[in-house]
Amino acid sequence: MLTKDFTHSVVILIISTIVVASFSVLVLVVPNLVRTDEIRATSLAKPLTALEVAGRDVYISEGCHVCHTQMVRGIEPEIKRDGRANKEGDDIYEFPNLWGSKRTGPDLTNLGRKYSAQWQRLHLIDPRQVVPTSLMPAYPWLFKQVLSGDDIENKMRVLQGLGVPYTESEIERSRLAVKGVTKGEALIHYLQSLGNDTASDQER
Amino acid sequence: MSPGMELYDVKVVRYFIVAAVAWSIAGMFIGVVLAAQLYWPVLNFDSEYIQFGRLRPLHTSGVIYGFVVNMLMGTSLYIVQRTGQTKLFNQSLSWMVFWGWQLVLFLALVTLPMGYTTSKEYAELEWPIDLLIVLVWVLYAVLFFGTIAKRKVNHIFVANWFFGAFIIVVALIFILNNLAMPVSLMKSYSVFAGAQDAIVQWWWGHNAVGFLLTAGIIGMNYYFIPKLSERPIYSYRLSVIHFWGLVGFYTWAGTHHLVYSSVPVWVQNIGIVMSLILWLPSWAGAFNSAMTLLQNKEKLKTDYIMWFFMSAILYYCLATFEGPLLAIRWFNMVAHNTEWIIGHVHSAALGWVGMSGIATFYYFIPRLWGKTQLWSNRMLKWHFWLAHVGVALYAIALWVAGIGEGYMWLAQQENGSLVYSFVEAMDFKAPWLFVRFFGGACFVTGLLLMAFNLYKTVSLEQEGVADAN
Repeated sequence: MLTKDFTHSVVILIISTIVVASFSVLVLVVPNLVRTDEIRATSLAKPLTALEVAGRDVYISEGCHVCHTQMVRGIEPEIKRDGRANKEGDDIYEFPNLWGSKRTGPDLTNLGRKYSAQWQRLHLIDPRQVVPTSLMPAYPWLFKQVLSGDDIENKMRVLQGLGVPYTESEIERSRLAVKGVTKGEALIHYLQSLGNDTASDQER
Repeated sequence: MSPGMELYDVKVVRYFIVAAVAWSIAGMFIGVVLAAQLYWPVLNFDSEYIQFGRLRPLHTSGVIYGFVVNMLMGTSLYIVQRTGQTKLFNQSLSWMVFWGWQLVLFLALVTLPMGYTTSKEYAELEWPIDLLIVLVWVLYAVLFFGTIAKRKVNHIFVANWFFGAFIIVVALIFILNNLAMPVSLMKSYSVFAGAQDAIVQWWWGHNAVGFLLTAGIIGMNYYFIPKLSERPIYSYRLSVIHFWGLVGFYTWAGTHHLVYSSVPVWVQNIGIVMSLILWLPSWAGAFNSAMTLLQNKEKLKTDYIMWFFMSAILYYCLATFEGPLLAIRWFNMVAHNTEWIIGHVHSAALGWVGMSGIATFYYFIPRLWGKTQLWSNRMLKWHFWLAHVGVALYAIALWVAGIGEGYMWLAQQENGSLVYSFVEAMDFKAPWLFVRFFGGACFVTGLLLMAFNLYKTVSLEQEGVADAN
């Protein structure tokens, strides 16, 4: 064995590749994965309501994160444009993160209450009616499809298991909160919640 | 079938390559549709299934998992046989890998437009499909390493190191990034949240680029470039440096996607520094491949397939220079989230991966079917120029659009107020998004010429026998 190297032994090739490629996991991924309690301790985040969870899943399913970021960088003009910069503790209930990687449309981190629910509705049904040069697809069907609420209890339970502090009564009432609401209305509830929990934090 | 071919399992290789050609056209055609939607939003057709948000993951998955993975599986299973002078470890296993992977792609084609997505970039497929991917990938690893193990030559050829690293690292990063709690058959939540999830996500995202679109393609080129140029690899020592440089440094660089975000600053800085270091092994490898081509100047004068490889290497140089540049805070501040990033990705994906793939198809497909020459060299020439005009327009358009909008987002008056609204930046870049659409359309037109040319090549009766070595 000792006279061989990775060019002559498939076992050495496999093991040495795994070892060399894994250093980064140990140095920068794992140390951050074990900091959950520390990050939560500083957080102002509030868990989403059942209806907002349903709306967030519409956001994911339609691929809103493909064109909208939810990450305001700590750069002065960006804070001027998009509001308070994200802090590490802000997204502790974001399973998964929706930071995105492309700003084809504006950042939505602090969107909540910026526009009325009626504006959001008009904009989702026909974006060009309110922003003439908008590139956004129209989402009229969101206001025709109604949520059954059948899976919301399961979703809340899974999120609870991952560490979102939902109470039993919140979970039990979740189906009633979601059932019969259109996807569009749920999405607007979610959008109107964005950034509210951290709005009181004025310090950068 | 040409002599020598009967000693190897080539049928499954042909299937993989045909699937790769089909997915390259389908995946990039969807890309052109997306580019058109960004200029004419009416092309979303108010349709749930083909609106931009749902179509975009189908484009990236189609190109990465359809075109590139099919091509890498096909070429790796061929190269590992030829360089080890042995048949595949197990023939039925190879068919399970082929059909298993096509099933994954079919499920992606159905579920992504229906809105089943995890939202994780380049890992959008939901958990049951992820499990299938892991299963097929393990079978592929057993097949590939099993074939290396039964090789009849002592030395493991360079290409196989890169394929090996591609298989191993993609498996590691895919599994960690996709850890999720299922809610129902087609819905799950990532087990990681927020900033922690973002670190895992970009550790995956950048390594998918590093090991799928880089190491895998390098492995393929380390076999086909010497074959085509009829010269040995320029420097064995450089290929060793290239290999360990990539494996050693690539996995560190992913957090450059999170510069100025809310993840700890030291995590961002590791990503920045490692991205800069990566520049070196990347260019060392590019030099090695370019010199291998340049050893045969006679052939380089006339052979457009040689030139496709040469262009691929030059685009690799561009992309691996642009990458570290974009990782630097000062550039990142302007470029982050803009069209520049899309342009950078496509310089690499069309210029490097695309042209390497095109060159490989032109060289490999005739030989795989026992033909000596292409049906039309003129059409090859047309393809060469269409592809180059396409990538150049694409890259230039998005440099202008990206740097422009990045500047406009940040520009402030003297009193600190913003100069431009978001809509003004959007209106500024609109014509450049049209140029990008046009460039992409040129590139796909070139692919159609290639498919037609290769179809004619394979189906026509030809004199003589190909040198399939």
